[in-house]
Amino acid sequence: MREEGIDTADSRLPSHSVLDIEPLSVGTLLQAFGRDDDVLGEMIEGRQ
Amino acid sequence: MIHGMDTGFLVSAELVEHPDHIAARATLSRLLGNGDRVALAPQVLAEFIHIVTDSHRFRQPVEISGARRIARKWTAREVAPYFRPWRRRCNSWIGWNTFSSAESVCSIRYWRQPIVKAAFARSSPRIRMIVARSIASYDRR
Repeated sequence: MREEGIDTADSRLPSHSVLDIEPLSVGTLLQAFGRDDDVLGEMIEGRQ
Repeated sequence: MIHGMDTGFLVSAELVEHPDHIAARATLSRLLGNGDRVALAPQVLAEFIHIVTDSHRFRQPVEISGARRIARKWTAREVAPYFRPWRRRCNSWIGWNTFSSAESVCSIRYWRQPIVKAAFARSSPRIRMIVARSIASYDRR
């Protein structure tokens, strides 16, 4: 059954699981995460 | 059920130093263990790369090549390919910061709409968003 919104033409599913993705370490946090960070705005207009 | 992941959730699931890291991993494990799937907007992959490579945020930011490699992994088998054409869109956003043309900038500005929530809502109201602020209390109901 076709599921609305799904790209049914892409049948090449990866073999790995989300749970196989290794976590990254970035060292000390220099800037706290904000709940309402505008990341896309930063990307377009430059980092503050 | 399909659970939509926003950038904040993806970052928290990936970075061990993030205060919500353990909760995010536990949430993913629980949802996928129930047979549920997850979804993300391709734009989220570019935002993820932008954050983890930011030397203003972290003492040891990830190199761009490493960030892109990890971003590609987040198109894993449980991730519903929700935006057509899925693979091309993901590749475009993973490489977004190599773009320089005005057309690309216009495209990015267009996508600045609240796509992560609104696009999912338009294409399927059955998708429930896991946003960063709800990680600790998120469940599948």
